[in-house]
Amino acid sequence: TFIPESFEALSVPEQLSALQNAVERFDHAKDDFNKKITEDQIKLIRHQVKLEEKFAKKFVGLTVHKTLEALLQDSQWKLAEEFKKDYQMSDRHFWFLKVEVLARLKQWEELEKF
Amino acid sequence: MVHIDRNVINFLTFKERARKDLLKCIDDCPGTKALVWDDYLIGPFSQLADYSVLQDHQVTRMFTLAKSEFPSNMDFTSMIFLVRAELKIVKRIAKFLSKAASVKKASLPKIYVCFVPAISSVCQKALIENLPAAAQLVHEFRACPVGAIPLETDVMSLEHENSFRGLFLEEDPSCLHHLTIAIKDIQKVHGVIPNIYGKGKYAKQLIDMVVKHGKDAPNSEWNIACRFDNLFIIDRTVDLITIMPTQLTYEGLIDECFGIHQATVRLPADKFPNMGTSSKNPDQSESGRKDAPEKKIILNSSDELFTEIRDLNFSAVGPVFSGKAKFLNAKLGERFSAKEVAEMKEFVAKMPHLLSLKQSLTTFMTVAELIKPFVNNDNFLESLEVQQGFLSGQDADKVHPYIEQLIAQCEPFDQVIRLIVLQSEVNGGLKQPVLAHYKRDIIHSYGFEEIVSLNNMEKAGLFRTANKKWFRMARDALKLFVEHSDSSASKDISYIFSGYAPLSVRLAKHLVFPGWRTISDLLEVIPGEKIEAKQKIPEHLRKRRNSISSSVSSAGEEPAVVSLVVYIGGVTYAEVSALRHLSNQEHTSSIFYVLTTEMLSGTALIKSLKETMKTTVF
Repeated sequence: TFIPESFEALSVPEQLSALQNAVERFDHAKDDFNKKITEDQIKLIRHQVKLEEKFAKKFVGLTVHKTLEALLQDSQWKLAEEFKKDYQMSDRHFWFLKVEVLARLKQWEELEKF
Repeated sequence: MVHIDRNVINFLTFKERARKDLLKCIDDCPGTKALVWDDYLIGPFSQLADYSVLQDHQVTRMFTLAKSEFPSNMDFTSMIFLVRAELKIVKRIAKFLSKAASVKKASLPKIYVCFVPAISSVCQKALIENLPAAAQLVHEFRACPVGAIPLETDVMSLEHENSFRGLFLEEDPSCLHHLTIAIKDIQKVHGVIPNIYGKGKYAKQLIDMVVKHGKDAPNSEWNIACRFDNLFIIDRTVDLITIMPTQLTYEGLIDECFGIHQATVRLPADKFPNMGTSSKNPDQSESGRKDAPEKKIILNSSDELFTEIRDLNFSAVGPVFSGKAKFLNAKLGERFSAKEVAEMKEFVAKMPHLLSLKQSLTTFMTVAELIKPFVNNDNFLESLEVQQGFLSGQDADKVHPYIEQLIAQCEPFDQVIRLIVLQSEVNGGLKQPVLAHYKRDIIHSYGFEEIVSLNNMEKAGLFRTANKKWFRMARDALKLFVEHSDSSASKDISYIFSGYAPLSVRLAKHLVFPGWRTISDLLEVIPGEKIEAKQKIPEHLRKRRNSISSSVSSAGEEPAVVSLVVYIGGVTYAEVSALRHLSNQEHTSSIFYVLTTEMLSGTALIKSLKETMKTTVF
């Protein structure tokens, strides 16, 4: 129930506090998966706020997939690699995304490296 | 496929009853009327009575709960709400009526709230809680006893929106009550059904309700010879497998690609040039609506050609089309060879039939062409291959690379979930880490908000982690997967899915022959309770067996075993097709009828369980 609320929230802090409530609820219910995934979401939003400052671009509200895509699009390879690890994105998922972006950017040399 | 005439029960006769019930409900309110529709009911009810019929019954104005406001000009005597008994609907009624609270009572019409199909005291109370003034405003709460709506001679549906979600996620039993009423209505006309079988938790509940109802009913009411032998009730969660692979019948594919509602599909009108005027609605073009004009195509047995192709595997439809085209060509060619007046007369007499065949041939070939791009693309074929792999028993308890790929490419959510559920079901549940991997992956691609949808699906039983491997046993015992070299040649129902025979249909068939006793071990391992019950029937009303009845033309032939299969939570078009194939097989004399809470596809099911979130952009 806190999750829908977090989406109705009007500001980032409000959203974070709703999500924090959800984490506590999941913890109480011993629902480890949902707890972890909600914590990841909090981490993601904070992360995105920082990225917005750094790149003067919109990040908050994007999915992990879209955020990573944006980083790759800007050729932020190292950041992307870290980001992938932080959110436990699967290797295949990352690989598909990277190939897609590289092909779009026509970075054939980078593609060759796979 | 043509329905054979031993088919003595025609569900379409229930339409007339439903129509009478609806009109009586309207007539019982005095004077001129305004109807306020629960939007969802408009579709099913328009099948019963169109606007001109309603006008004949003094309906002068119509409103909908979702789009209309309380009218300021009340030039009618009665205002009738036709609504489903649901709390969300009650809230809308309260909102709609809130304006009436400030109007002088003398100028208000008589307000009737008619719940379909039965009065709900819970909803009545809820309305007054939501809007205390309603206690004075509403003149009377009534029932509009329109239960199931016949969609076809052999199919009735409650048209209960999102019945699966209602029952398995929200645990709202209202569709069970509606089914009880519908089964009672069928028994009133076609006699008490002696043998009852069920599989699954809600099947048990429904059977208890049906049997209790039967006992309570006065004996005279049931004084009708039995036409049905078996009532088989299946809870949708017993067979989730069958909903997940893509339906491959002609009708099933239309549903998968475009969605069928109340036996009607809406397609872009520009694909159907020069085809009647039904799509050319002058109001539409004048008001300059933005929606592209649509052509409504009715999909039922009133069309001979559609009846023939609807249940066929899509790959078998092409030859039928070309056969018909050749036939038409030859027949229409006869006009040149006709020399005698008598011959010409004969030809002219056949003309209307030939022309209507030509018309429907063009229509349904165009529909097939619209489906082609869906089935001819690589994604579809690859997905089909994965589905067939799961169903044929390839080992698949690990994260499947194709599913991972679909998620990584952000392909449609429902497509991904259908494959995961299929994988889970054929394995008797997924391993915890595999499910967690999929869920995390999905959230990465489709966003954190999908966590709520995923949790809904888990709660409704779509994802299971309990590890009970029953599918392999079922596949062997019931021959659920049969390899075919040519999908059009086989008579077995497995050809409908190009190899897979729907579990629910195989269970129904085994019930009739050779009997459930032969598979009792299997029935123990398939999840869901097994129930058997009997209803007592006076001797003279029983169906006669083992005696040569004079009404049966071929001597010695036993009357067919007639079964009513009830799906709690919805049925797919492909399953209905499979049951029809059984009814039409020459050697087995078993006939099946279907009663369902709604028509369903995997995509519709998953959409109903999704939660849409208001996402705010900061």
